[in-house]
Amino acid sequence: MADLSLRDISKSFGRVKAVAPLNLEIHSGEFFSLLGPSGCGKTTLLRMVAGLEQPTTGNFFLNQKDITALPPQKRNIGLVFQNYALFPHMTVFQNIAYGLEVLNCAKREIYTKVESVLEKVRLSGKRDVAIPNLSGGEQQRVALARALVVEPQVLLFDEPLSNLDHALRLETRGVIKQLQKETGITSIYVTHDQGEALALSDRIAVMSNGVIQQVDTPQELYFSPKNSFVASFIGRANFFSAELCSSCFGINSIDENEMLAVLPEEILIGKWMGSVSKVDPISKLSNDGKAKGKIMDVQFSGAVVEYVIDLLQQRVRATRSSTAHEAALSAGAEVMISIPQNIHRKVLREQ
Amino acid sequence: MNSSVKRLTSATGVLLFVVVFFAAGYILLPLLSLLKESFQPGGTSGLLFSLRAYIDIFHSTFIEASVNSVAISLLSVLGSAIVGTFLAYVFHNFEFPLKPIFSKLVLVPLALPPLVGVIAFMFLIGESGMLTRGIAALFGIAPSNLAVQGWWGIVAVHVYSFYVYFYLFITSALNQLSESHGSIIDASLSLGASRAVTIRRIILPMLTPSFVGASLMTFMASMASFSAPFLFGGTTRFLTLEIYTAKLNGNDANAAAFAVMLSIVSVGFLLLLRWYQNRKNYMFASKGSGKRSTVPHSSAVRLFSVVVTVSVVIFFLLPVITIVILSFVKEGSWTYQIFPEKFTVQNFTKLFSDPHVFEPIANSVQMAFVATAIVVFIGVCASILVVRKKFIGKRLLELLMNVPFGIPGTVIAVGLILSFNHPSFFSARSILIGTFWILPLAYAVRNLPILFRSTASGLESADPSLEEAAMTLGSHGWRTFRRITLPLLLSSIVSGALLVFINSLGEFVSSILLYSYNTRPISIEILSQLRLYNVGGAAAYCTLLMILVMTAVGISSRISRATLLD
Ligand SMILES: Nc1ncnc2c1ncn2[C@@H]1O[C@H](COP(=O)(O)OP(=O)(O)OP(=O)(O)O)[C@@H](O)[C@H]1O
Ligand SMILES: [Mg+2]
Repeated sequence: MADLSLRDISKSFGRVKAVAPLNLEIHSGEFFSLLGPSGCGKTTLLRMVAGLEQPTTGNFFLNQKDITALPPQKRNIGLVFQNYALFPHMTVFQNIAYGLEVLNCAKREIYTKVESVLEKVRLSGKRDVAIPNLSGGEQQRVALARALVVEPQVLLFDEPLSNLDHALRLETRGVIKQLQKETGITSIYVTHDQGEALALSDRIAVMSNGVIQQVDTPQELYFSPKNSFVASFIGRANFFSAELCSSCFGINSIDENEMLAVLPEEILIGKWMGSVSKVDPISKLSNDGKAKGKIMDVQFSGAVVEYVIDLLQQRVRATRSSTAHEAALSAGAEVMISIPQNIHRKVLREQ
Repeated sequence: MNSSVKRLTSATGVLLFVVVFFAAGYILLPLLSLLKESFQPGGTSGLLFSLRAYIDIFHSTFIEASVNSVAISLLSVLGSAIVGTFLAYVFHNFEFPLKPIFSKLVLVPLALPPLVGVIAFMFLIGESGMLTRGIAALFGIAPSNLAVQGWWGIVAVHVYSFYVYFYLFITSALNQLSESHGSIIDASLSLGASRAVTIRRIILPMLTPSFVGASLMTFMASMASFSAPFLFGGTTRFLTLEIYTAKLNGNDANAAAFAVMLSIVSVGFLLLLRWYQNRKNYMFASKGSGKRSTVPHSSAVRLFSVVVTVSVVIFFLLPVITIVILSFVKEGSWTYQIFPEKFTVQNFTKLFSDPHVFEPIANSVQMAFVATAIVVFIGVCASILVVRKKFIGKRLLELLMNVPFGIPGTVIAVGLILSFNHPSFFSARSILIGTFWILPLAYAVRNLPILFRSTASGLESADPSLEEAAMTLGSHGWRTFRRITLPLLLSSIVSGALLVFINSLGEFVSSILLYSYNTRPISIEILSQLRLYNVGGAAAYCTLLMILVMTAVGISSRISRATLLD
């Protein structure tokens, strides 16, 4: 059980500012994610926590103890690499045993510990297999086992699932979550996949350009984003200006310098009946606050259908459960579009 | 205060000290000694610095020797380019019976140390050569009219030894071309371009980088070549020979001035080569589809090409066969006959039974071991520093590690003589010249770039996150090196070390300036046996060298294949 705090941490590579000064408190036993687009500094931050990179400013505290000057070997912080970094000249067993040998564990102890962790990651039969003969998913789980077996205080994951196919990603995600729960190891998980972060994390820090935008629980981030970056990155929200809100939807509570962020699944659409006042019998959009738009594109992706709608030159994304899809809502069709009156998710207008 | 700096000081500091010590003492210092000696005023003029030696060599033989060296090198490049490119193209494009065997045999010239190659050619196509005498007898001509000698002898040996640069460079470029860009050839053909147009407009431009690279390598190697001019050149002057002659005549300043001039050319070409290789070219490695796209040819062209290729490859074997035949010739039995007639295995039994005959073998093996050990130690340390660490002067260190590759062996030897014919800080205040140690040291300096490069490129392709993973698991420097880095590098180290070992075993160029009777290596003894007209004895040493080279190459290719399968 360990808590980790980052105080004033920043990192520059020459003139490139990879991480701006930031503060974070990661609680004991927490599953914490760093989420952000490619190149925003997630890996750099993680490598600094592991001690593989020195911060330009700031300090790390593990259980209130300053570990900034400690080399990686002395931190007891595990890292699961994006490319797994398994030792290619060793078997599965030797890979996992390596960290225990470093700790000078007895042979028997090493053996039992490796066996038990192999069982946890569901690789019991693969103990003596050579690394190149493993599938991607299996390699991933060996990497996880190798980091776990030394019982680190903190476990770091750098996009551990990004090299796996979709189905395997879902399965391995389950393994990771379950193991983290069982062991209670404080974990920091780096990803650029918001679905993954939302599903796994207790809390998430959303990063952009080396700056932390918001730290919150998945639900808070999704439904109450603090700014337009978080709203669009997490929920892929649509933004409507004050002018558009009042002229199209009859919403007058938005300031000039704000925008209304509306999630795609919140947008209401219905068949265009020839006039704003005519009600479409299926969607039954209420009479007020409706506007006319045109469907540009329809994308079917299994559970949901996404409509890309042109509303006064602005592209609006709307989703519906695919069971509610109507043939009339195809590309080129004119639609009525509206938003519920109870949405108050406002973000500052971007300059 | 910054802990990454603190970490730098301990292990890296030791590495840095060792490598810088070696580079400064045995690479840089000899070059500086040369420079200093070449500006030696001489006489009693009381000057500190003079151009006397330079003026001297300009007035005597420098111009003539330079023109000859450059001319012979250009001819060698031309010949090697034609042979190497032709062979590469045929092996890439055509299928013919026994091709797998021929594609191995085509590399046979690699198995001959330079001196052995020259000797083989002398006894094959020289005035007393078996081929010369045979053909002469067949047509009733005087052998001296047929003999390939002087310039053409040198060019023949150079093409034989250096065509392989073109062959390997072009082959790998053609492989890449058809794997990653197979569709380009197909596309050109499908757009209606003729064969000739496709070759001229598509294939040749994409091969240009390999041509240029191989040409520079061949040019450098020919400029540096010593054995061929030494044995074939007669009275013709070449730069490497002028250095040797001046040194032998005790004119150190002139030898140094020649050496400086030659080094300037060589290092210039080395820098040109590095600059050229570092430029982006259009080859990208890609996962090949396994499909080879080739340009179709008419069957007449195919037949002709294959016949020529097979003949060339068979000709490549003749020098080896010559040496092997000669090694069984009874001492003093072959004089005016076309072919030797009396054979014996004594030459070989003597190698190991006669202590006097065995001594050079023992010397060479010992010196090659010492040289290899030095090279492995320094080369591995240096490649770790250059690839993995950050420090000031890194580019300079890397350059110094590569410099001996560009500098002719004669120059290195003269530089070492001038640095260590008096007590020096780098020789623990003793005189190294005349001792055992100077020879392995010279071999080590000459071969360091080979191992440095193979290890550095091995290290570059080894993922640094493996070492980082070990670190996060608590593993400290030495353990990480021993358990992770070293095993990953082992195949590049071993194959590099084998190459260094066999090069050192047959090393002639620097030996001839540095040996003393008690430390004479195999190559020197081969020469003395030839001078004593004991062709069989000389050839037995040559055969032994070839066997050792082939064994080493076999081991090394097995190792790299084993790691490829991993
Ligand atoms: N060693 C380095 N030297 C110079 N710049 C670097 C170095 N490492 C990272 N950077 C730069 O710092 C920035 C952040 O990189 P980082 O690898 O942390 O991004 P990331 O969020 O992990 O991206 P990705 O999702 O693509 O992995 C990038 O602009 C990158 O180019
Ligand atoms: Mg990253």
